[in-house]
Amino acid sequence: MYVCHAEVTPVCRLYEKSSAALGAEVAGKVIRECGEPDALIVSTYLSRMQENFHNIGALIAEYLGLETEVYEVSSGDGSGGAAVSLAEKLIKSGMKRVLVVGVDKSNDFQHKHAVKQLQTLIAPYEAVYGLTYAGAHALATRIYMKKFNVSEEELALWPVVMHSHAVHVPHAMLRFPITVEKVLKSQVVASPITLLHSHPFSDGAAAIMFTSESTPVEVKTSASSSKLTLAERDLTFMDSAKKAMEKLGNPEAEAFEVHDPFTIAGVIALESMGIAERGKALKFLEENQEAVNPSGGLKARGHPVGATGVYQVAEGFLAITQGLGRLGKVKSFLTQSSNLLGASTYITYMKEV
Amino acid sequence: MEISPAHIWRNKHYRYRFEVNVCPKCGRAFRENVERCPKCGERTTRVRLPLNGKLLSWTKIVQVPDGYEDFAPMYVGLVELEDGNRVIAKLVDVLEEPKEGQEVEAVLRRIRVDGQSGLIEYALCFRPS
Repeated sequence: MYVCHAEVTPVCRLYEKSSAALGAEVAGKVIRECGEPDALIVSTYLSRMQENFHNIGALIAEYLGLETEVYEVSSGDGSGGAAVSLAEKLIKSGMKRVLVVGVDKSNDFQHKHAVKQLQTLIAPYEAVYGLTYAGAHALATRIYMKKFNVSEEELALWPVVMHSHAVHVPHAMLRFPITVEKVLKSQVVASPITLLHSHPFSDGAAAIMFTSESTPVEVKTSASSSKLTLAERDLTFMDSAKKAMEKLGNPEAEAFEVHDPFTIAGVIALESMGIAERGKALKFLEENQEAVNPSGGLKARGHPVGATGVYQVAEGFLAITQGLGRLGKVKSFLTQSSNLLGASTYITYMKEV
Repeated sequence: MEISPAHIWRNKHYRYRFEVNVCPKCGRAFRENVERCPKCGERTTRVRLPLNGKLLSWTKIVQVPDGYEDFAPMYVGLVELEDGNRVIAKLVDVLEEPKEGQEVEAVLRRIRVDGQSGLIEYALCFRPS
């Protein structure tokens, strides 16, 4: 499978547009560049609850004037990656062009509502106690810190590097530098996670046209699953990420976009994918700053939940064709999109051909 | 708030008694009504988990979801029970900062109140033992 073209909106608070309008706008640009698709796959998560509308795929297709097959794909906060993964299956089944649109909204209500809506990622028997998306990652953070003897100061490197990337990325949400001190002193969200360890609540849309015809960017995908129940897992490792990488033959890439809604998730992702040794992801980040989340990651580019995985792949396409932020231009790129700390993981590997 | 009596009813064995349905063949435990193991097809047996354990990890949730404002800040813990099973539940009676390794025991507490209809939801939580 190849990428024909990709478009993204800036990630920010987009109060004036609905998710259907946003998704159709970016998708239209891609269709005008590549032609009409044989199928449309839409990925969203929070927008369903934010807009109280659960049929967005059909409306985006209507706005685009498409009469092709339409599917909505969902896999928690890994939905975007799942949509891209399914696109490859449709292309392999003989379709010529498949359009993936990731779109989401998080800011239509006060944040406590988005916090509640994100709890829907967690199994009901764990979420009922008030465990939040941040809280689940906080449990993992504390175990990781103890197991690998990592301090809060060391963890703070992650958001600092992410913000330093986003400054140079026009579509990123948090384009300002921060310091370790600021991370440590920012408000506690779910201890030991502070605000500056957390993704911002973001709106955004990204669209990618995949094709069976050769273009300069080739894509391969891989996916795997583990358990959703948090209590049943090793919270410092994502088996699904390891398995998905193995299925892909553990390819080496020059740069990565990993799924880091909170610092710990990015750290564990690098280690589970075999990019860094266990307990050494922060050291790897220190030595390879440009290669890790050149967009700023979910932390600083932002996290429009159901669209995030599509943004990552669009950014890989940008990095290979034009260059991306501090990273510049590369020949190969890996993206990882996971559902709740690795219940499922979707990986794409892109390379210049 | 949307407390559903139906949800409480079908989840009562786990919420009130820490009873799980275990498959005799593959040994997996389900935290809700699963009468036959979806994988093996064997009839599951209801087993009560121990009510004592030690704290593996915890968090103090300050940014609480809509509907939980009256309970903020909330403590939630990951507990390893005496038989090695692990559960996530709320920590209550937290007078000083919890510590990993701390002994805890299960106790039934109020976890949510539906302001509009007056419904109250209870579940087993953990307190220092």
